[in-house]
Amino acid sequence: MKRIALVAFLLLAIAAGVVAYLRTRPSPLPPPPTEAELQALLERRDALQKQLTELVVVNGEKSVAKAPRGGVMIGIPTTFTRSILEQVVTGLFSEMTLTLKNLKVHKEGQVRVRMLVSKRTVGKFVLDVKIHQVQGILRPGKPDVVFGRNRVSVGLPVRLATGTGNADLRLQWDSKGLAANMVCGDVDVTKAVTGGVVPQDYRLGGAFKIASSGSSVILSPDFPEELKVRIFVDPSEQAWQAVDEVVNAQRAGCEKTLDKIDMRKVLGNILGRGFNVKIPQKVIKPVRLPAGLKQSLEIQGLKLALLVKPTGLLVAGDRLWYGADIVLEPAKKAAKQ
Amino acid sequence: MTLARSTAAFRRAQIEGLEALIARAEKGELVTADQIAIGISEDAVKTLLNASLPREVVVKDRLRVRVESAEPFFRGNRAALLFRAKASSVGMPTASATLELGGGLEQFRFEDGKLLAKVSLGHFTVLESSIGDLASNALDSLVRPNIAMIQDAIPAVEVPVEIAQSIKIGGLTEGAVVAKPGALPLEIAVSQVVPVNQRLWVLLKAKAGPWQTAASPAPETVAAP
Repeated sequence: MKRIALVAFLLLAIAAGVVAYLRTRPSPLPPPPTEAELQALLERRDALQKQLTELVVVNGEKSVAKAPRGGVMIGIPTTFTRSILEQVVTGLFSEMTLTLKNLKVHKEGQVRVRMLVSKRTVGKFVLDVKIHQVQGILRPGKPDVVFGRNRVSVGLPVRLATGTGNADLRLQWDSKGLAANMVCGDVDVTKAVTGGVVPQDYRLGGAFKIASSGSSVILSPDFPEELKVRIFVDPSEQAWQAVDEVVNAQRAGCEKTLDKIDMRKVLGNILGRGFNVKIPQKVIKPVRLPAGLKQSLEIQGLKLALLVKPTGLLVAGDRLWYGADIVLEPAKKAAKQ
Repeated sequence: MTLARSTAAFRRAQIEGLEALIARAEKGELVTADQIAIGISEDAVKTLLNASLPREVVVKDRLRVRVESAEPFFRGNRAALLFRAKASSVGMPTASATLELGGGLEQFRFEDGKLLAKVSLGHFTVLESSIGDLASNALDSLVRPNIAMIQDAIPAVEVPVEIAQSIKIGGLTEGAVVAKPGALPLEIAVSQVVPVNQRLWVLLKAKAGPWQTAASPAPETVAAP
């Protein structure tokens, strides 16, 4: 009886083992795909790739199909290039100073007054203004940046915004004739004066040529004319008071005579001509766009030279495209740092 | 049969990847405009990858694995890599096998101005063996748990592009004119990677500025960075 129970138990254990094995064994592999199935998968993949390309174009990538092909393609958005150009150009002109030193202006003349029946010269004046320094500060406005075929035109409004200056104003008066000499005598007065500059607006116009220079894209400035700025000195209130003081400090009769010089007007006329300053074109530098190709690579101590062969450059509405093929040149041991 | 199965699996994975990308594009989530696009072809990456090969690693003092060649596949939103390697016994060099190691490129990042991607290995197949099926199983049991060691022997792939971190512009002092030099800092980071149509597209978010004026005029000769 015991033996039967043992056999039954063993049979049960074996059966349980078989069931467990059948349940846990890996399912047999499905049959391998046929050539036709593989081809169908390939066609489905290619169709989806085409659909994706079309969607990418619809979503804004207008020029990718026309971009120059190459081992490496770089597409820089025009919005980014515009941002770079705007900031570089305005950055260069922001806080640009124009400083003129040791300028001399000179005016002389004579004063004639009616005496009884005729006019007579009562004296000669010499007015000298020695401008020690006048400094104007430029402030750029928002530039217009327009992309064209292989160039970007730039128009930059520039304002001569503020400025300061200091000068010595010297009036020499030489009375002519006895009467004038008795009333006025000779006068030689020098006054220190200050001033500013008259704000003026200018416009700088030019372009940047877009070209590939082997490994990157360079924007080279092409500004045909230098920017001519004319600084007009604007005497301060203190300066006008100083002018008035020169006259007012004289005796009453003399004051009246010197009033005839009309120093305010003379000074206004000679300073009103302004002073020219030319801003050379070379102030605007070439700009290398920030994404380019490397000319060497270092892999685990081996320096590999990369020969970059440009395949084309396209300036499209949405991107600047640059394509190049790269060829590896024989490895050299990298120099120890 | 194995090759047909793995080809089918790879194509299905590409189809899934493309369907996911298309779904993103249809929802307007695949934004590429205003980003710097760098597209590198399979051939170019193959050249770069193979320049760093062969690489050799000894597994558990028993097996020498020499990674000899690589082939990239940038299709269907998958940056896949297939490496061919020769495995031989350290003690018995005549016993050898040819392995195919599969993986991909991942973790695209900027590091010290370099655009790098890590090679990751996920699976391998014994293509042929001079030592028979039984030894192939032993090979499998050695390689599979140590695949990370082989992966680490393959250097990161550097996409050979130069991304400047700022644009420096020299100043000018000439006559009455003083223009201060300055720099335009650039913030550039990897935004997304799209491997399609046999090309690996790396899209970079880029922001320029604000302009920073330097303290004193730089020499006139300093032009482009």
